[in-house]
Amino acid sequence: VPAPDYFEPTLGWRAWLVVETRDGLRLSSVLYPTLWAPRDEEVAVCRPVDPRADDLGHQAAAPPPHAAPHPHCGCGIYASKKPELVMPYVHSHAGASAKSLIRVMGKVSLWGTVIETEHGYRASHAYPVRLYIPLHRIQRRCRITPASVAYDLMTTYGVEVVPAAMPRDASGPIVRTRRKRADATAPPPMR
Amino acid sequence: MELGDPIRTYKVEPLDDPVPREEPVERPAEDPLEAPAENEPVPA
Repeated sequence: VPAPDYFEPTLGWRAWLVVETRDGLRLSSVLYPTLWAPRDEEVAVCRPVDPRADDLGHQAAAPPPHAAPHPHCGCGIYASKKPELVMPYVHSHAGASAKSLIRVMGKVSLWGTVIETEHGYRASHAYPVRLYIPLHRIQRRCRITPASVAYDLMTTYGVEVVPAAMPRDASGPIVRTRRKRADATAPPPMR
Repeated sequence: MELGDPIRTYKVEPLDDPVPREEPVERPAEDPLEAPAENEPVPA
């Protein structure tokens, strides 16, 4: 058995959908209907249908069945080195459904087998570390309040949840810091 | 997400569990076992 190269998880950036399920709010992959289980690691599985197949269904030259991630396949749990790469997925509508409430981004721990690429990582194991949640984006018609979304994610997954702005042109989440001036106005109340 | 070409593959075995597992539910302490009465036969 080869010795590990590192004893600390690699950290990367990801986006998730927050969806309503029978069991409460859950994080879901943006591109696949995969729910991330609370308080349990996400383990990569190489899917039999390679998304890189062309319109005629011809598969790209994928290796035979293998453990994920594999250097010659696109499988594995994706994370980027910088938040910029994740921002388009926060603003995209891909993968949205009636049950999806909001998109969040955050830092994720990666471990097991990790393939480092130019802009990120593909890993065999992952779990979120910190979630940045754009509270202002939760629609007014939503029956779940922003505060309860944040609280539910925090308690369900046992991770830090940080309210943040995520403007389209930003390079990452913008966290509002507490004003220090005595005459500073109070932050707007949460809906 | 376009991550680019692989650079290297490595193994990570975290010393601390990265997953905040479910904390065990605290159970009320059970009553301590009572000592047998003086005239109660003690099993061999």
